[in-house]
Amino acid sequence: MSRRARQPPSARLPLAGGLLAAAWLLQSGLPAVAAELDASCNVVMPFDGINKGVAGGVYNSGTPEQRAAAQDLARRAALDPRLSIQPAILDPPAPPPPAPPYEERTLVITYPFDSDRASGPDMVKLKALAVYARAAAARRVRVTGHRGDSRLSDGSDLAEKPPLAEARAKKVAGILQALGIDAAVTQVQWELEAPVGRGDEDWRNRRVEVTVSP
Amino acid sequence: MIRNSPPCTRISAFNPACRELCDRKAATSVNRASAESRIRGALSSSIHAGTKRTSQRARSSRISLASPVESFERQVYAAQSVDAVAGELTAPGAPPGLGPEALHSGAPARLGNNPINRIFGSFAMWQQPAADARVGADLKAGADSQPGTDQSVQRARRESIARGADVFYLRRFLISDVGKYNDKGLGNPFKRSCGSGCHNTLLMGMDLAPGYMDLGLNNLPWANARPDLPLFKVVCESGAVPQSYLGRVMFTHDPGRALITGKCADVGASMTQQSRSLAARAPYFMNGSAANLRELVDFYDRRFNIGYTETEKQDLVNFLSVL
Repeated sequence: MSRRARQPPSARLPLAGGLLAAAWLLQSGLPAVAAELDASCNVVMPFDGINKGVAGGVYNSGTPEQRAAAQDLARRAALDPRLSIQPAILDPPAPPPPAPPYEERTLVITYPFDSDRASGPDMVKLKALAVYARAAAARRVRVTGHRGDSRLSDGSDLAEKPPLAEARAKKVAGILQALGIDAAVTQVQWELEAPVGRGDEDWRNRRVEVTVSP
Repeated sequence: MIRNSPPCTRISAFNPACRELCDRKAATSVNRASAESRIRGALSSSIHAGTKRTSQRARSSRISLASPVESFERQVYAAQSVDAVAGELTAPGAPPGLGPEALHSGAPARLGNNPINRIFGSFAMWQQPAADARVGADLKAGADSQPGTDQSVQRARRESIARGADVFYLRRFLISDVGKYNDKGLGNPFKRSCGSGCHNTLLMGMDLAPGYMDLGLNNLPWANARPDLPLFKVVCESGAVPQSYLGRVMFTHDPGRALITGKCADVGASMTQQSRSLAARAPYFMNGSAANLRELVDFYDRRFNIGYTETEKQDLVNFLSVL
């Protein structure tokens, strides 16, 4: 469906990634905003009445102490529903603080294609590495960003955008500084070129390496 | 453009992202006045709260405003206490997660989407039949004997609320094409319920790990028809990271997060809100596009093709009305 938009010449606002222009909804209806590549996934079937999302266990992850506490609360809450608003999942015990001898440590963070968003588990590891770096009074924390190239099944290559290595490195460095790592000891660098994909384990090239040197 | 600011009550339960919203709210005297009037209105109705007025001199700047407003809001616990049909919500035997006292005494910032907590606790005592004899006895002795209220109507409403809680907690649906959500590695579509997906914080029903996302509230083609609001066309640069499901050319009533970040992928993105005291603060969504809770439920039902039955919709509305 097409739409004619009235755009006052003064009503334009630059964004970092584009331009915002004022239009006005003149009539009801919805414009098509992007062409569909494939309609095969457009139909979402309504709820089938079978899977209600009831978890099979009370709490199947966490430490043994956490699971025991959750299971105990489940037993008591079954008898007294007032307990159902008490937190079932307790914080795990804090890990022991890092202790000498301090040695060089490296963390490799990998990324989805064309993304600078790392996973939650990797961020947990990064937080632990920051604690280690502070305890070790690291004299250098080197952050190196990379981007990747994927060899597709038809033999062609699909490379990530060139700025991504820099974006990944700077983002991780910013997180480290927010976690208390001195910017003066942080060395941020990135590789401009992406290794040619091989079609096997190309995901390993989409990464940031963080090396802590005591 | 309407900005229906969230009430940041029980701010200690929130993470810094919500404080940012509160700071944004505090940045303008209009929004601040709106928040205060909403809270005053809530106090004059059925919501219990402890209050302390903010100082007049705090109007002068954002910096001087943020502290007294936050200080004020940190001691306010707002939740529904009475429902016209279901009766007293905090009487003995009532669901334990209802009422402001549950917020005051509850643990802050805990994940509630597990089989024990279920976000707002158990509603088993209002289910049919009663979960156990002791709970039934509590009902008989307390909450089910409101003077002047027809008990059968009251019981039917309570059973509807309990069914609505199950819909909120358990009824899963496919969440698809939500920018800044499905493209975070969760998968597209991603199957979750209301409570296990986004509104998962124990007793509050906001997202414990919140992020800005484009649910479809502001961007076409999903936004509710709002001929009273301006429609903006956003054209992103060819090199910009696009909105994952709408591309680089979008029509939106509210660019949302993009007005702060300038990023194409953030166009229309807004923050998941908490779920308490809903009955007292219509209209809903950041642009006020749902006039009442039924319209809110209808939006989700349409957006994600959930297929709620008419009974389920009414049960969900009744449940959301007592938080």
